[in-house]
Amino acid sequence: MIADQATRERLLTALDETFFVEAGAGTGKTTTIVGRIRNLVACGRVTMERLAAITFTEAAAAELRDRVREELERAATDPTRPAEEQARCLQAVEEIDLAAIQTVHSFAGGLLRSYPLEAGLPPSFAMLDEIERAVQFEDRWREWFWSAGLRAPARELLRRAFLLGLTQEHLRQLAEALEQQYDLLRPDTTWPAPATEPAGPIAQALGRHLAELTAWTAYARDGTDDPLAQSVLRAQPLADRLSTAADDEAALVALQDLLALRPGNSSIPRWGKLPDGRSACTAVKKTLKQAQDEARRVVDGHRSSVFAAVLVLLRAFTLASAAARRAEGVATFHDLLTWARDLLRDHVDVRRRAQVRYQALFVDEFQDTDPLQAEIAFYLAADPVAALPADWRDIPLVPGKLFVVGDPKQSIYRFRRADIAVYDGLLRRLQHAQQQLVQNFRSVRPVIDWVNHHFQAHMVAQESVQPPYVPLAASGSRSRTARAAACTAWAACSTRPRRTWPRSRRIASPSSPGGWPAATGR
Amino acid sequence: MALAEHGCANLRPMVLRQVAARVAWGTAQTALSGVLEAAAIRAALQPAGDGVFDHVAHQPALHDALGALFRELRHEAEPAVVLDAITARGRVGQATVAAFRRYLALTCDYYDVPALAQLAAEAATRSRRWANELGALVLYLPPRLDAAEIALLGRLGEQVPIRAAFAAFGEPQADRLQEEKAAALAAALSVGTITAASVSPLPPVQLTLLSAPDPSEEVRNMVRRLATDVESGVGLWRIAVLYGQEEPYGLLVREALDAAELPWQGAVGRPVATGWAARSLLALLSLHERRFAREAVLDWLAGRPPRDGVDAPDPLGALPLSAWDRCSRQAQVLEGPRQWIERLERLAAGLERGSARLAPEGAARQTAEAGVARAIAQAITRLETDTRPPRDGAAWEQFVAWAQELRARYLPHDDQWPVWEAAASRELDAALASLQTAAELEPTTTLHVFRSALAAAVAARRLPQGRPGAGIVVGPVGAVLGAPFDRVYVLGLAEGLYPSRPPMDPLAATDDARDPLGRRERQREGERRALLGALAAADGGHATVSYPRSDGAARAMYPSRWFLELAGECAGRPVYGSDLPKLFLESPPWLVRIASTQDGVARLSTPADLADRRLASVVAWHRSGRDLAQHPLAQRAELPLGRALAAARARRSHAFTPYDGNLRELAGVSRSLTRPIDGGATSATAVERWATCPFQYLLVNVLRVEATQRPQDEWTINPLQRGILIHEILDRFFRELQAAGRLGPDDHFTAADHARLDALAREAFAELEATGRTGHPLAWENVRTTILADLHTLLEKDEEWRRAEQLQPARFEQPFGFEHDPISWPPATVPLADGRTISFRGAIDRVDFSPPGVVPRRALVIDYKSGGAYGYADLRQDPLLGGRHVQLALYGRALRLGLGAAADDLEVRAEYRFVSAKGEFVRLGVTVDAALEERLGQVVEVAADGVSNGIFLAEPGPRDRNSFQNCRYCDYDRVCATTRDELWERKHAEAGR
Repeated sequence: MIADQATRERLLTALDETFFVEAGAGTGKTTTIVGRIRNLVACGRVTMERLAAITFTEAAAAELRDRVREELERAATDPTRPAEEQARCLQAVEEIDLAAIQTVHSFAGGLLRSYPLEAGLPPSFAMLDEIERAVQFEDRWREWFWSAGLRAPARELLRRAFLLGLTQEHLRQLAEALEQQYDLLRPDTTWPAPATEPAGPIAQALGRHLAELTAWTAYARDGTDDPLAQSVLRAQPLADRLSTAADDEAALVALQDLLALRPGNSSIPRWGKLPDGRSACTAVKKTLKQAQDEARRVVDGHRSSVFAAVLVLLRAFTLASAAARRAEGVATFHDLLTWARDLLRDHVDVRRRAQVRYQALFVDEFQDTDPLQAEIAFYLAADPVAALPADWRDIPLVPGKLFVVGDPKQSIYRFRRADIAVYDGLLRRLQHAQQQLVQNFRSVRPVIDWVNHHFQAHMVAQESVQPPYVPLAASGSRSRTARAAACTAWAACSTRPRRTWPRSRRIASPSSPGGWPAATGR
Repeated sequence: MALAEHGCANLRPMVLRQVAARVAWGTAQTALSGVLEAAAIRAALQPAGDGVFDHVAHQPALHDALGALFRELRHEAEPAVVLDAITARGRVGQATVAAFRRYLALTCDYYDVPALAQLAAEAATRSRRWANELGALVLYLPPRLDAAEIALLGRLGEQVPIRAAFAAFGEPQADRLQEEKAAALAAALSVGTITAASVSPLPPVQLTLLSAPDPSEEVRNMVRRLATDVESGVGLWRIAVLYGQEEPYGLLVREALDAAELPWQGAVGRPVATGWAARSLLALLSLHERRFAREAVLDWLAGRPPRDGVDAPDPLGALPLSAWDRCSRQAQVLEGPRQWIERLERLAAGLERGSARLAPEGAARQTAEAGVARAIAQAITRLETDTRPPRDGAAWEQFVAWAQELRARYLPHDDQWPVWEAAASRELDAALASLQTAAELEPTTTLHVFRSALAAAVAARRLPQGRPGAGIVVGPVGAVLGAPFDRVYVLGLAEGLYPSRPPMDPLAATDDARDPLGRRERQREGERRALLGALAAADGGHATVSYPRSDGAARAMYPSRWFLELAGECAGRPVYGSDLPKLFLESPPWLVRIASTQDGVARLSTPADLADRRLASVVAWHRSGRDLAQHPLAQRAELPLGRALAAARARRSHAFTPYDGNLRELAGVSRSLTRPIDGGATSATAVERWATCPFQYLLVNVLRVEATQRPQDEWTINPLQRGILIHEILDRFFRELQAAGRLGPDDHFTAADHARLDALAREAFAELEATGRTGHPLAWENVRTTILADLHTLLEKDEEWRRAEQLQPARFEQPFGFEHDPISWPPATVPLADGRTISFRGAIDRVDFSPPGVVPRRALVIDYKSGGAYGYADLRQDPLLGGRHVQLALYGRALRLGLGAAADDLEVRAEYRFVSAKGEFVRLGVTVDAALEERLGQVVEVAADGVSNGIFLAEPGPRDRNSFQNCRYCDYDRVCATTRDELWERKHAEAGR
C-alpha cells in the first residue's frame, strides 16, 4: 500500500484546487504532473496552447513534454475512456508544440515576444548569452566610467571614493552585482549612510599622540635597533602629515596611511618603565593600537557614507543600462524575468489577456525558483476580478489554476538567485493548498532511513530560512546488510557539526569590497 | 511530356511570379522593391504619434515585423476580416492596422506580388497576346497559392492548357491546406475532379536513425557515411544533406564538406551580407558612429578584404594589422581621430628621441617604428576625412554617393577574389545603387537609417553557392521537395529544433493566441511536408535521420516527436523518449547511437578527411593496446602528436625535461638563449629575474614575449610609469639645484624650493597626461596629490638625511655601460671564478659624496623606490637576497669602475630609498665592500651558469594567498603551468635550483 495514495489521487482529480506540493526525490512528482495534465486535457478544461508547465532546465522541459505526449497518446487510445476524451487527447498530441512546457526564461521570453510593444521592446528582440552579456556590460561600464564618471555628480564622489581606497575593479564588481539583482532596484532605492565626522581634528590629535611617542623610544633598551622603536620613528613623517592635515581629504589620506602601519614587534623586557611605572613597551603598543582604532572608526564612517552614495550612482547606471538594452532590443536572461514580471504587474490589459491564455500553470522544482518566477506565476494565476494587492504574495489565486511542486531538501541553486525564503513564505501563505508526496519509489529503506535521520536533525524549521523537514517513506523490505550499512553510516556522520542549510538571500546588498563596510538597501 | 504531342517540348522553368510579370508586361506601374517597401514602412510609422510604435519606431526589427505582416495581409483574399480581428486586439492592433492603411496609401502606385498577379489577370482578360507565347502551363508543386494567383491561373486556364501537380503525403496534418488550395484552383479552372496519382508513404525503403553526442559529431558522422556512399559509387548530385535549422547546422555542414574536399551546392543562396565587401563596407560606415574606437578600427582592418589584384595604391598604406595594433597600444590610443593622431605623433617623437643613445641597430629599429606610427597617424587623418558622413537629413543620393566613394577607395572590387566573393561584391554595388530609389517615398534620411537600409538590402540579396548538378545538395529540409536522390541525410531532428516551436505574431495574434492569418498552421504543415518530402526524395534509396543529444554547450537535447515517430515506424510499435535507452541497447539495424567522438571514429568505415583518417588510425592503435608513442604519426616531426605525448609524459615524470624549461641541448648552440646575459652589457634586472624565476627570464629575456594590456584597461597609472615619473621630477629638481651650486650637506630647502618642486612636478604631470598613461582622470587626481605630498615629505627627509650623513648629491641618472652615450661610465663588469666576465649597464638614480677634503671619503649610491618595501625585509640578513636584488651591489661596482683610481680609498655604501608614504620613507642599504663584491660574483656566476646551461624551470616560490609569491604580480602567470608548484617540487633538485 502506498503511504500517500489518497493524496496522489486528490492531486490528479481535484482539478478545481490549487496545490503546493512538497515532493521529495523519487516520489513520482513528474508522474503526478503528467497525470494531472492528462486529466485536465481529457475533461476539456485545458487545451495545449492554454497550458504552461515551467521546469528548471531545458532537459527537464524536453523530458516533461515527451512524458506528456506519451501519456496523452496512451489516453487517446485508452478504450476505457469515453470517445470525446480520447478525441481531446488526440487533438492535444497534435498540438503539443503549442503548450508552453519550458524553462522560466523561455516562458518569460515567450510572454515578451507576445506583447513586446507593451513591454517597451521591438517585436523581435535578440538574446544575449552569458558571454555576450559580459562583453556588453564591460563596454557599457567602460563607457560610463570614462565619460559619465567624469561629470557631476559622479565626478566628485568617485574621486573621494578612490581617495578612500575604492578601485575601478571594486566599482565594476559592485555594478555587476547590482545588475544581477536589478529587479529589486527602483529609481528611488537608497542605502543608509551614517553621518560622518570631520577627519581633520581627529587626525591632528592622533598626529600629536604619534609625535609624543618619539620621546618614549628612549626607553627601548636596544635604542633605534628595536623594531617597535623603529616603527615609531618611521611613523614621524606620518605624524607630521596628520598634525598638519590641511583639509578633510588630506586627513583621510593620512589616517589610511596610519591604518597601513604595521608596528614592529618587541617585548616588555626589552623596554624600560615610564616614570609612572607603566611598561613603556606596552604603553607604546597601546597608544599605536588606540590611534589605529580611532583612525579605522573615522575612515570606516567616511567609507560607509561614500559607499552608500556610490551605490546610488551605480543604481542609476544599472537601471539606465537595462533601459538601453530594452531600447536596443537585446535582453539578458535576467531581463527576461524582470521585464516579464514588470509587464504582467504594470499592464492590466496584458495581464488579463495572459490570464485568459494560460488556464493551467505548473511549476516544477519550486524550491530553486527565482523569486521573479514565483511572482510571474502568481500574476498569471491571479483572480482577474480582484485588484492587485501591494504585495504580490497576497494575490488571491483562481482555484485550481496553479500547481506547484518543490522540495526544500533539494534547494541548491542559491547562486542562481534561488531563494528558499520565497518558498517558505509562500508555503506558509498557501498552507491550505499544501500537500506532501512522501512515498519514495527510488531508494531502498536503509538509504531512506539514513537520509531521514540526518537531514531531519540538520534541517530544522526556521522561518524564512528553512522550511520544516518532511520525512520520506520507504517501500520494500529491509535487509540485514542494508540495515547494518545504514547504522555504520549513522555512526560515522552523527558526530559531524551541525550546519545551516539554505539561507535567504539578502535584498539588494551587493558585497562590499574587502575592508569596506556592508550596505543594506531599503 | 504529354503536352508535347510530337517531338520535344520546349520547356521553360519559371516561378509563377515571372509568368505574371510576363503576362502583365507593359503596365504603367513599377515594382515595389524591398528598398521601397522598407521606405514605405518607415514613412507609415512617421506620423503615428499614438504612443504604440514611437519608442521602437527606429528599430529595424519593427520594420521587418511590419513588412512580414503587411506582405501576408496583401496575400489575403479578405483582408477586412483579418484587419478587424487585429483591430480587436487593442491599441497595438489598432496602431498596426492604421500603419497598414498608411502603407497602402503610400505604395498604391507600385505593384507587389499579389498586385502583379491581379494586373496579370486583368491583362489576361484584355488580351490573348501572351497565350500563343505560353502554349501550355505546368504548375509543379506550388508551395502556396493566394487568391490573386488562383484568379490569374483561372484566367490563363481559359486560354491555355494547365496541368497542376500537388504533392500529397496521405496524412491530413501534412495535406490539408494543400488540398484546400488544389480544390480552389480546380474550381477556378472549372475542373470537376482532382486526380490522385500516388502518395509517398512513410518510411522510405531504407531508413537509418542516428543519435550523436552533439551537432558537430552528428555532422562529422554524416560526412563519414556520405564518403562511404561516394566510395560505393553514389553520384554527388544524388546526395542531399538537409537540416531543420540553419543555426548551427548550415555552417557546420559546409565546413565539414569543405574539409572533406567534397563539392557541394547550396539549395538556397548565401546572403550577400556575409560577403567580404558588404561586411567591410558596413563596418567602415560605422567608424564615425563608433567614434574611431581603437577596437572598431582594428576590427574593420582585420575584416578588410585583400586587394592583390587592385592597381591603385591603398590609401592606408601597406601597413600590416599587427603594426596598427602594436603602435596604437603603445601610444595608449582609446578613441577619437584626434587622439589617434596626437598620441601616435607623440609616440613617434619619443621613439626618435630615445634612439639617440642606442646602438645603431637599435636606433634604426626605433626610427623605423616611429615612421610606422607617423604613417598610421596619416592614415587615420585620411580615414577620418573620408568617412565623415553627410549630415542627418541629407538626401539619399548624398549618402549613396558617400558610400560608393568609400567603397571605391577602400574596398575596391577585385576580380582575384574567390568567385562567390567577387559576385557578392558586384551585388553590393547593385544594392547600394538601389537605395537611391527610397527617395521616391522618403526624400531625406539619416546615417542610422541608411546603414540599416544597406544592411537589409545586402541581407535580402542571395547568391547561389556551388554549381547546380555538380555537387552534394545542401540546404534546409524543405529545399528539395520533388527532387529525387539516392541518399538523403536529415540532421537536427531534436525537440524544439524540428519541428520548431510556432511563434506568435505580436502585432496580429488574437487574445487566444490564434494567428488570424493562419501562419502557425501553415508553418506546422510546411515543416511536416518538408520532412515527408525530404524522406520521399530518397524513395528507393536511403535516408538517414539524426538528432544530437546535446547542443554542444552541455545542454541536453532530446529527439523530436517526429524522430520518435519514425522510430515507431521502424520498430512497428509506438516509441517514446523513455523507450530509446532500451532500444539503443537492443541495437536494431535501423538505429545507431554514436556514444562519443571516439566511438564515432571507431565505427567509421570511410574517413571524412585526412584528420579523420589519422584519428581513426590512432584510436585503433590505442584500442589494440599498443603504445601511442610508437604510432607512425607520432614519429613524424611535422605533426604535433609525438611532441604532445612526449610533453605529457615528461611533465608527469620526475625528470627535468625540455618541457619543464630544460633547454640544455640548445644552450651550447643557441646564441639567443645566452645573449641576454653574456652577449654584451646586460642589466641587473636580468640577473634578478633569473634568480627569482628562470621561466620568466626565458619568456622575457630570451623569447621576448611581451605582456600586453589594452589601453582602456589601465584605469590608473601603472607602478612602472609612476616610478619613472617620480625619478624624472627628482632628477630635474636636483639637477637645477646642483647647477645653482646648492645641495651642500647643510643646505636647507626653502619654501621657494618646495614651490619649484611643485612646478616641476606639474610640468611632468602634464607631459605624462598628454601620453594617456595616467589612467582615469579622477584616480589620477588622487595619485597626483599623493605624489606631491610624498615629494615634499621626501625633501624634508632628504635634508635631514643629508645633514646627518654629511653628504652632498653629485650625480643624477648616471648611466653606465652605454658606449654610445658620451656621459656614460664604462660597463660594470663582474669577473667570474671561471675567468668569464659579465658586463652590466644601467643608470644610477643618484650618487652623493662627502664634501671635498673630508676624510674618509665616502660615497652613497641611491636607488629610488616609489613602491612599498614589501619583499626587501630580509636585505639586512642577505644583502643580495639570493640574487633577487643585485642592483645595489652592481651600482656600487659601477661607481668604483666609473671613478677609476679616484675610487681607491672611497668608502661606498648603496641604498634603496623608498620615497613614498607607502614605503614609509625607509632606507635599506648595504656596504659595497670586497665581501659584497665577492658574493656578487658568486650570484652572477650562478645565474650565468643557469642561463648558459639552459635551466629555465618555473619557480613559483612559497604560497601566497591564492597564488604564489613569485607569481602574484607576474605578467605571465596565466601562461605558466597550473601545477607549477608540483613541478617545482619534483624537479628543482635535478635543475640544480
